[in-house]
Amino acid sequence: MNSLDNIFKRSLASAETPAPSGLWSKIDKSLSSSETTAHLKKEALNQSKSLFSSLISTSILVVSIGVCSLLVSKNNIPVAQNNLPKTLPEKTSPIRERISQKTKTTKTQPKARNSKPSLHEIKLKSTPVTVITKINKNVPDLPLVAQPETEFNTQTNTAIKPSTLPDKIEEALNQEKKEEIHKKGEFVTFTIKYNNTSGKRVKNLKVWEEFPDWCDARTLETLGHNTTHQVKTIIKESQNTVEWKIKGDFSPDLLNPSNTGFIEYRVKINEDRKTSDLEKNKPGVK
Amino acid sequence: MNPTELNTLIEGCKRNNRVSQRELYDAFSGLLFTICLRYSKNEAEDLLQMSFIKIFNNVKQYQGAGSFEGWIKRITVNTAITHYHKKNILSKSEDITDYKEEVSSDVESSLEKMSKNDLIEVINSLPDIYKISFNLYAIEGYKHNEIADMLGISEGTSKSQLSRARKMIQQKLKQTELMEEARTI
Repeated sequence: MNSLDNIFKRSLASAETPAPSGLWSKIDKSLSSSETTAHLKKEALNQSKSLFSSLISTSILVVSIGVCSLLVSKNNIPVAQNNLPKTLPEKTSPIRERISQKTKTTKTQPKARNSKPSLHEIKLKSTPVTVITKINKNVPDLPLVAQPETEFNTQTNTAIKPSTLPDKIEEALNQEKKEEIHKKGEFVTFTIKYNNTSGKRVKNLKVWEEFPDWCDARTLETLGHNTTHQVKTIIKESQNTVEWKIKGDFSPDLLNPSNTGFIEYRVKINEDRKTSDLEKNKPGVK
Repeated sequence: MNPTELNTLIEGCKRNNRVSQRELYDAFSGLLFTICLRYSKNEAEDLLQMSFIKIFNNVKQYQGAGSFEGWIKRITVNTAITHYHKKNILSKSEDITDYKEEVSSDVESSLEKMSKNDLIEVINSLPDIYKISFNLYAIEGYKHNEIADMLGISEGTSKSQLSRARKMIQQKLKQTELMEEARTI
């Protein structure tokens, strides 16, 4: 450090300048609105969960009753016999077998497309990107999960949310059109939510996302996040991906166990981006 | 503010108590606003607002391990750097060989005479990439490897940016002196 630096440090390191009047009211307003938004989001999630649960319960009940009625009428079995004895062997009980099959089918419904809205989906109404969140390779034993329905692969250390969207823009745009939400050329806002379920502190975190061709990573803008640490956004044009590197340099508790975080961003729906553009940007091709 | 009072305020903020948040704002807004002014005079108000929202939203993470003032200062600096990352200007840097520069006694004496606001003006007159490196190294006290890591640049680039920043500051001060001399003549 030279004398010039010293003069600046001495004069400015602990200097105070009165903050603009009226700024507190803006902060107060933002805090109130974020508290309200958080409350509303929580309520919406709870409502969706309870609605979903009741839908599943109802559909199981309806399917079971329907199947029972059908089988009872087909096999001409009195209704009283629906209460099948549990000791009855499987092979000699076609009714039990069929009911069981139907029930299994119903239970698999939550895994089907758009059947159970995650936080992400609730906010967006539709999910036009594949969300893949990876953890930093330097923290190999961390099961970090990006979405409530994310499957965690312990071998590759990645958390992958199955894609719920079509790969082709035409399908996506048609889908959007039906719901009257987004059109080509518009920006779509997304939120990635992550949760440390590992029981260990995380020091360095890398969140990344890849887009289908019709979402152009070059148009990405990070809108916000809830971390106090540095967030570095790296857009890889050649791969149509983005990485957010969150680094903790002063505190060991970058992400404590069970803590959550989010990153909000927006991208433009763009059908003009072609595979040839991606090829041009590959390293070494230029 | 003594440590007990500060701890009471922090605990209040952890419970989202708006009165405690206001008191904390009153206590530290001046200090943090100066930091914001050093990083971006035009957007200092926005940076301060973002910083306080982050502080209040994340105050539960503060476990009392280090100084609270240091913690909120870091949040403010990180907010400013993240802001520059969003603008994507940090990658527009070149890696050149570092060179040593000497500060003339004239420059030193004119700097000594300058007010806090004038010094902030001098820093703000630098291009963004030099301004950030100078702030982080000279005032915040980070090392070059830390700055390189924070900004996603090489250590060499950090050193060269600092050198250029110092050189620009000296040139600006000399120009100002010459202009003043011309006025007096």
